[in-house]
Amino acid sequence: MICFKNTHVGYKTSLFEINDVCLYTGKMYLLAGKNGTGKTTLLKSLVRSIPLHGGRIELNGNDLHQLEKRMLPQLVAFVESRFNGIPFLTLKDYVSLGRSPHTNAFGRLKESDTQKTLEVMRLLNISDYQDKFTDELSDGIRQLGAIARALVQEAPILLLDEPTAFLDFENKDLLMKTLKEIAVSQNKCIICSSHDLDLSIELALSTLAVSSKENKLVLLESPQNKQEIIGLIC
Amino acid sequence: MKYRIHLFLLFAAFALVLISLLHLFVGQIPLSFSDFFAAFFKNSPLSTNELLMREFRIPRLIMAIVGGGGLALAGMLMQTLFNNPLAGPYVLGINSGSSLLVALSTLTGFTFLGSQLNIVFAAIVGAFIFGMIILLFSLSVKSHISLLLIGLMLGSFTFAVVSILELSAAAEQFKSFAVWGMGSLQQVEMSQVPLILLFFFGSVLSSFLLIKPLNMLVLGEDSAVMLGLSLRKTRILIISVTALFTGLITAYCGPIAFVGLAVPNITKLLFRTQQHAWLIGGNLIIGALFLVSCDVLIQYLEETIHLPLNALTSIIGAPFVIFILIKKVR
Repeated sequence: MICFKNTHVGYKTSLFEINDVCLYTGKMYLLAGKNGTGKTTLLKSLVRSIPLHGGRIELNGNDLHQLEKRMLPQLVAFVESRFNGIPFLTLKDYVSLGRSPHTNAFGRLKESDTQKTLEVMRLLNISDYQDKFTDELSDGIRQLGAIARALVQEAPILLLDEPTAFLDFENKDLLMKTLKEIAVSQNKCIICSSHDLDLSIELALSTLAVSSKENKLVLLESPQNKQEIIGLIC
Repeated sequence: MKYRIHLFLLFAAFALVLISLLHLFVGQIPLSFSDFFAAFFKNSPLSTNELLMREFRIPRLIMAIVGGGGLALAGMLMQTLFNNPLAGPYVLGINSGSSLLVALSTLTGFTFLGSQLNIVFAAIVGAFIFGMIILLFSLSVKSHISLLLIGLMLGSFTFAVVSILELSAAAEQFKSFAVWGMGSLQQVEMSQVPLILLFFFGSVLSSFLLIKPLNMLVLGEDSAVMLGLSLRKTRILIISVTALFTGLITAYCGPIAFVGLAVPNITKLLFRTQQHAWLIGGNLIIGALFLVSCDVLIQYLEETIHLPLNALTSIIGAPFVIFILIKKVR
């Protein structure tokens, strides 16, 4: 459970504030907002890449910023908006690096680590590409690879920064459906920033809307239509 | 995958053994196996050949292996840390740090420690300081090429300071420093070998301890941190191990260019992996193979032309850098 307590998101200046909003595991949230309103900044604040401008974020009642830094990867996983691939790094090696928070000082993969990696790759239907180099894959497969890497991390909170930005319509749809299923089946709290408001309605996702008029984040538990969200963010 | 790496490792190791034997036994004066064993096990007065083996051939071979393997590993560490295929201890000016401090201590007579350790210590400290300088610049400079330019500037700066020091130094010191600057594997005596090997194996062991952070760094610093990597600790550890390798080798052999840049790239192209456990082994063996081969060539051509080691590695290395620039960085 993530709770925002008078949280001011922003690095040098406060971009927007979040008052008493709580997010739960087993659910997927769509983070909507105009360009430059601070969606990525919010996600990065949740992995502590960027400090908060004010207020606090609680994870299961504990202050996020008081947690030991090495505990964080076991709680929060982050998928960046674009992964360009790395030469000579196979998809399987790439995904299994997501196990790093669980492996010993040498990063040695145990049998269970390898099993987890293969299981997640099967779930996302990318097992066929496991021995291909990540810079030689298509954008879609690579993006799924990045998500697989975050999933094998086995953190209860999964953050995705516009994962659908470089995907075609079919892959977009499939990815969002898969993510929603994962949120329910693996009891994760998934927050996914996107401009695809249609998907939010279609998949009946709760929506976090950054209102640029009031500089506030508003939680819409079940938005009825696109207009409702657009009305808030514009 | 694994099969390919095993094959290359085996092949390179086999080639290294062969070329090492060539290095030991085939020279202007051919030596025999009995000279080799005598060099280790005979205490009583040694014959000329046995002495030649013990005091020249064996230390020179060990230096070639340590130098090649060590510089290649240092280059790999730099390339992974800066996520830059053009990085290496020489191009980033880390050698220059060693040169500067060695020049300061040999040309001015200023000493940190006892005589033999002094140069090694100066070289390692110099490499570490310049490594930290490059690291600081890397925090604000994002372009691959800019970082190399900064390395180049560090080199020019050092060159200027060293020139001034050279002019005011005594003739004898000047000559010994100039010879050192050309790079050579012949300056080492048997008595220094244990210390060199101690430092070398210590650094190799430390590199193996860095496998996990190195593998994580391949993802980029941001992603690595989100997976729990302690960036500051990792950076300082990597710079330290690089400084140990570079300083040790620069102290005993002088600056050797481009091995640290070319070999890690070759290793990666051959092994086609980003798993550093394999890359460390590969760089050690291929680096050693490269430098021993260079030295065999130098010995072979000795009668016709005198090739300084640094000149030979530059002749091979510089075109290679251009090749990588065109192919990878653009």
